[in-house]
Amino acid sequence: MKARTVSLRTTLVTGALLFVLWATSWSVSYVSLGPWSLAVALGIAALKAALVALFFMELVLEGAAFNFAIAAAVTLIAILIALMVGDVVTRAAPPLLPPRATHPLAQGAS
Amino acid sequence: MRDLALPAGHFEDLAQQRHAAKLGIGVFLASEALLFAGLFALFAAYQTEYPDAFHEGVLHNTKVLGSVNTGILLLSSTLVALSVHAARLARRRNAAVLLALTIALGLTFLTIKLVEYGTHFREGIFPGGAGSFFTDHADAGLPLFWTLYYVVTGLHAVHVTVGLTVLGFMLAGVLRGSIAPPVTYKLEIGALYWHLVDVIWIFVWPLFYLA
Repeated sequence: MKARTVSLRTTLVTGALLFVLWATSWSVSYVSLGPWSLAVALGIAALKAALVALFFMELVLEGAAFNFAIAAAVTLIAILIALMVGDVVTRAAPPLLPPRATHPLAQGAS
Repeated sequence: MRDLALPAGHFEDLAQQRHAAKLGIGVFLASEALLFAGLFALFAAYQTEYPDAFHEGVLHNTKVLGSVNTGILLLSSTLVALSVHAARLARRRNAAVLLALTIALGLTFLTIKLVEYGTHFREGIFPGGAGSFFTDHADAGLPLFWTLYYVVTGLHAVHVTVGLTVLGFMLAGVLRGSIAPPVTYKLEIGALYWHLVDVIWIFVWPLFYLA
């Protein structure tokens, strides 16, 4: 049995691309992009992570079982972060209770 | 020595053994990613709540050291991938040298990390909002940023240490000849763990040092 492998050339090109992206991300961090700087930095990070996963971890050649485990983790992480940020962003300041002074039931409450 | 071409007794052949090993490390890496995901989610929530304090924290961080460390991990990941290539071609010496270089880079990463911690400690920045830095800078978000910084980078450093231990065993296996074709998948598995350590840092870097 001979398992297929990523070629040496692909590995070297991936390594080189990682360094190009690293230099890009570091340089761009000195440019003021306001709220976009985090998005750009994370976008480049996602690209680098994808390169490492696909060609160093050889996900391009791996069977469905291994890739399913990794894909499940990525999906769960996306759900976790989306819901958590969604929660923080949509929290309204005083929740359902009306202001005490104007509410008849609140008069006698301590 | 046991014939490397023979699978362990409970496997039908080497392909099945390799498949089981790969699936096992896949599930383990997924659980490791979820462990860090909890911390990243916490970062996302606090960053949304205290954007100014987190921006100030990033500006105050040791950007050059953190960025150099990123380059070191990227290079080490590339070298360990090349080591897998060499091992598959039965180039034992090349595989061993590349692994040794990877380990050296990992140790350099940890050394730089310690220098960073030393810099922060001297500035009076300690976990949990302790230290003189936080009496001078009263923003409520700053202790959260720096505590998360210590927890995330500390947990990552633990993983680097474990990864270095694993790579040490891999190096010994390559030198002894127990990791050689047709069972180089053992080295692949060690390398996969090291790549995960790299991927986690790829996200730690922009969050705590860049943006």
